[in-house]
Amino acid sequence: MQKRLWFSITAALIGTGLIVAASATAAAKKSAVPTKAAASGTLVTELNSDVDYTDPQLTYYVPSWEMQYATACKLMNYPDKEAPEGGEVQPEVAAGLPAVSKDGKTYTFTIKPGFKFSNGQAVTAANFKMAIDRLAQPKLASSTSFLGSDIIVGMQDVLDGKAQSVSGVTASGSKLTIHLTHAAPDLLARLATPPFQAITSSLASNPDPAGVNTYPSCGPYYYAARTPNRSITLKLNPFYKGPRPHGVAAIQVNIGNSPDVIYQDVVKGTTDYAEDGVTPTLYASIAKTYGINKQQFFIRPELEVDYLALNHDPGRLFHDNPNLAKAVNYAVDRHAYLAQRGFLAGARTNRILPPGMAGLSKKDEVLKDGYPISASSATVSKAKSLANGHTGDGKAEMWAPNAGVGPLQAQVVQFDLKQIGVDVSIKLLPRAQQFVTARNRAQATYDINWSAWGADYNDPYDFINILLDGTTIAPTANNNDAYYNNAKFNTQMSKAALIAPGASRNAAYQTLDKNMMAEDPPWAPMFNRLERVFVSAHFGCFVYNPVEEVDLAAACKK
Amino acid sequence: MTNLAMVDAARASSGEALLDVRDLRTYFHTDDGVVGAVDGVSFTVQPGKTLGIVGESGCGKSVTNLTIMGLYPKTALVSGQALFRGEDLLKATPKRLREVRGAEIAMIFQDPMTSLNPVHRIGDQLVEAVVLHKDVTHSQARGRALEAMNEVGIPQAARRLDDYPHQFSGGMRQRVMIAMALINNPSVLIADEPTTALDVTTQAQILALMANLQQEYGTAIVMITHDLGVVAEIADDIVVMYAGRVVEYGGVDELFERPQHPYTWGLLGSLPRLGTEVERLEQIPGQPPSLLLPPWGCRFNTRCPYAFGRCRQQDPRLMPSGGSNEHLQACFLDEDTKAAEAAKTLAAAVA
Amino acid sequence: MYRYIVRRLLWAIVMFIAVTMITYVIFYVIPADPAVLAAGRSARPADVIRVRHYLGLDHSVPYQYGLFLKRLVIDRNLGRSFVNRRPVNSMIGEAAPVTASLVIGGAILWMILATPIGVLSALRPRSLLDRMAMVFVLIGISMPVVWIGLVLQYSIGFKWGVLPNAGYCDVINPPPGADCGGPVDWFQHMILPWTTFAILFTAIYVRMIRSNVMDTLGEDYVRTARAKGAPEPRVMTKHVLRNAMLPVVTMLGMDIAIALGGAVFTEYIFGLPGLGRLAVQSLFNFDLPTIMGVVVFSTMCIIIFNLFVDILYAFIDPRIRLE
Repeated sequence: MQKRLWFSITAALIGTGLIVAASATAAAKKSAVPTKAAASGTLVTELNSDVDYTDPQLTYYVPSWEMQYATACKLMNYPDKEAPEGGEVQPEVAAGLPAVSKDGKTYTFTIKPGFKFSNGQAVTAANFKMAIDRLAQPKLASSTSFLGSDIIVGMQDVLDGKAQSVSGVTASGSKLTIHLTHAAPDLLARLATPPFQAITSSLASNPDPAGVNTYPSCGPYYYAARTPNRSITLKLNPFYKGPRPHGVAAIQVNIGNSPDVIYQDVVKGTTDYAEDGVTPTLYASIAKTYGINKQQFFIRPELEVDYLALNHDPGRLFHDNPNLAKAVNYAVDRHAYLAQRGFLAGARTNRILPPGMAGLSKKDEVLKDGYPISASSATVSKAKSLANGHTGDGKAEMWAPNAGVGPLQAQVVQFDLKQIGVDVSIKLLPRAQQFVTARNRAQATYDINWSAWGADYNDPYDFINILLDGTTIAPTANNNDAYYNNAKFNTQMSKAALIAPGASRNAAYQTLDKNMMAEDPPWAPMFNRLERVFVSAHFGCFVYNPVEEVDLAAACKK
Repeated sequence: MTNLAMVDAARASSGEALLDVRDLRTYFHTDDGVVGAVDGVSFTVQPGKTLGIVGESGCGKSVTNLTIMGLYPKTALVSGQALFRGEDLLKATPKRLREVRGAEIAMIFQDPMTSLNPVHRIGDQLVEAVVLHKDVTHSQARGRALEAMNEVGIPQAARRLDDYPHQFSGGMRQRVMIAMALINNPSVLIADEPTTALDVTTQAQILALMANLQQEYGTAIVMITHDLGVVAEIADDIVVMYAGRVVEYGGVDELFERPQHPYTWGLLGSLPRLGTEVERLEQIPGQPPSLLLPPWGCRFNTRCPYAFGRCRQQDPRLMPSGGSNEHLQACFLDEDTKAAEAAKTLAAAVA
Repeated sequence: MYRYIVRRLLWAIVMFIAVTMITYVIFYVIPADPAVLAAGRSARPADVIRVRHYLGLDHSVPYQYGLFLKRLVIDRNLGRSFVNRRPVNSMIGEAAPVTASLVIGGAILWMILATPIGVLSALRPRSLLDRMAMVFVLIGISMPVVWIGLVLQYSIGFKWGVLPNAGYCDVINPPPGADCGGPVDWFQHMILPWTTFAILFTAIYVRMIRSNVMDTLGEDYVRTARAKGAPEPRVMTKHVLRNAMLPVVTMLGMDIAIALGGAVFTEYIFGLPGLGRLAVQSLFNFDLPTIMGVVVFSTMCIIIFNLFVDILYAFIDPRIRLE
């Protein structure tokens, strides 16, 4: 019996070996064969986790907006260029800048002819009205409706179910008119976001709250296929005749592999772009192997800021306590704090606005006479003297996420503030819970909140007014997690919001930034994240737009 | 003369032995050393007759028979001969042994509860016994199985063929084991403590059954037991074993009337008897010796009330006792003492 | 027998309710409001209220749980995900076959490996084969699944490129946009995940089978079979293995159910879109309907599987069948 068993086992092993060998050759063959080609090839990207939707009026997820940049055609858009030109919104389907009424409440756009959807239909003003109407559909229950509902006349009525169509938007022929409830010069930047792209009537008549996966679009590409949690396929829009680039015939997004595997695939070249990044600890070796900003590894600043929100609400440590807030800005070791994130994770900053916004460039990232971004004994003693007598009961509570770098960074802060006589107790929470609870005024019992904010659109309103306007503080849903309420600055920022986009608007916001930090810092700004992009050797024509991030339309295969 | 020769001489008159065991030795390797479980055992089995092998647990009686059947572990050292109709089983090929087992020599074991496979039906297990040795169809084998069940007296045999072992009582199971053993009409049936696990009434039934079957089919029986009472009923000859050796060997009547070995006296003395007022059963004091390092001299000397100097120095051989060449015993005591003690024991027994 | 089955079924229902209720309650003890998450971070209070109503979160917890149960039992509907509003039924329907491939394929693999090794070790105790097998068992039980997976994936999948490093291919009907499909692709992609998943259980089962076989070899009925003249192969199959493998069957049933948990690591490392990965993602996203869906489905599977194994055992072991 034993003999027979041995034979069987050997046979099974040989059999398995044969199968493996056969598969190996098949696998090898497969990777050697290039992707099926239209003339310009397929750009292959990978995502670790799926996007929320591909539906233009529902999606709110960063990699998804990166794809939308390749498929959408909008009234205003960002040019396919790097910073700083790439950050300046320009007319795309609009024939030029809109005509604005004197009171700043009426905008009239003229639609350029020639744009076509991927099903051949022409783009008219009506398609833009359809987008806004659909965005306001209560059935759709979009979470991006806020991008227009606070300024466009009649949009809130549709959301509330009181009207069927947004009364403040009218389309006739090639003219689109938008009426606003109050002057809002950041309208142009808002119109450059995906929810406002032109959509077909078939999509407009379909407010499925689960979102529509594939639909015709008028940009260089369109969504040809989507299998949730598995893949998304974008194909070249055969009817696109506009000026934007379109380097590849198709963009294939594969979803689900772990960041380690995505790294491996980019190295092998079977994937061209790691769309939501690779394992962060790998960036150091990637930089070593491929260099920085040379061939395959690129660093770009994000429109983002990591900061410590100092709770200014009445009853809290930092209420009416500018000296302590300044002391914190002197005491924190921004270098150590940033270092926890790993190699090239960000660039230190001491101001509210990030480079790329409000006309700021990289060299403006650090306010020259602002708080020092390197900690030393000098800065610590300055901090001590400022803090002296203002530390209340000497105790402070800090909230931080319980995963990733949160606990580490919290410990850095704890150590730093101990030097100035403040005992920080750290409360670690799951990020989702921390995020939600901090926005509830009664529940936000912290003195310091670990925080981070990325722009929804490229206008300083989205940073300063949204985050620091004391007049909008409510019981819940507060983005102002510093609960900052300085009457003087509230007025100034409301004024600045009304200035037309351009140099004076930028200047006004820059001044606000500087003055708030100098007089009574709402935060201790720590650093601006750097986007670290890893692409394969086949990824050519790399363009990184400061707002839309990696430009998939401009990409080509080499 | 060697023990073997003694046995030969004793049996020379009785005609062709069916099973002739000659100087059988089975030694086991253990972590502590070599254990001589069977250390020079010889006996014969006559056709149609019953041989009883008695002794305490651990005296080697079971191992003897397992060795004969070839069911000992491969690591054991075996020497001697087990001649079955002249063929030495100890030297037979595994194939030949498998032919013999279950067909010409059958064996049943002590514990009927565990000796049957619990997940197979009784009928299937009986059929297995048949088809292993005979080239018959399944239904023919099943017919034979049914016959066998009837022969051993199992009621409603036809229905019970499809039952599982746990649906039978202990006694019934032992009957089934007997049926399974006899289904191929073996010439020898080795029964290793077949009734030990059964109550007295069932015991009597089983013994009666075996006696009947022997009468009908002429099967020779080797009955291994520690119970002299059982053996008295059905054996023709008796082998008394102690510590891996034969200490007394003779016909049943002879042995019971004139036991010649202190160990045998001890066994007889410890028999409970109906109708006597006995305060305590006579026990043989002490424990069986370790077979790793058996006592020097006579192996029984450490427990023998009659032991004297010579017993501790020399190993007694099997000698004919009294007048009879067919009654062998291994003890240095003189004839008269033996006779006196024997009489004493019997007196107690008879009273 | 019927009373036994009915009793088991009732108990299964009780367990089901208990597990789902506990999960539901735990979710609510953590004070994170899914409505705010779903509404997006720039949403104003009015938006959040609207979303809360849309998601049905403005009722009391017991009421919501009651709604959930009603919808589950009567409509057999697990609701929609908070994150992407897809029906949870679909998400589970897509993920379940992947996990089933992994778990069942892994189980077959570990049985194919463990049975011969375990049996041979039992037949030759303390031989070289036996000792090597025991060393393998020790290593297999000690190596964490995650480590095994990562090492295999990195070395065989990436460095040597002999097998695919990750990904899942559907056996039939690959979705549009998939770059692989069909039985051969599926098999190739599953080899490393199966191995990762199976090593621990192979080790456990080698040890268990070995000890079961060794015990059974000493049983009286094995001796009886030999005494009947049965040849060794027959003794091994009809008598030894038939009995020794009985407890293995029950263990297998329970382990497959438990293995669903271990599948999480393997699915993550190899990018398999199965239930384990779905569970992890939905936990990170505080996606209550999907969490509940996965819990409900897994609980049902485990309960049904155990019930099935209990009944199967009654069939293959006649001693239990007829009590």
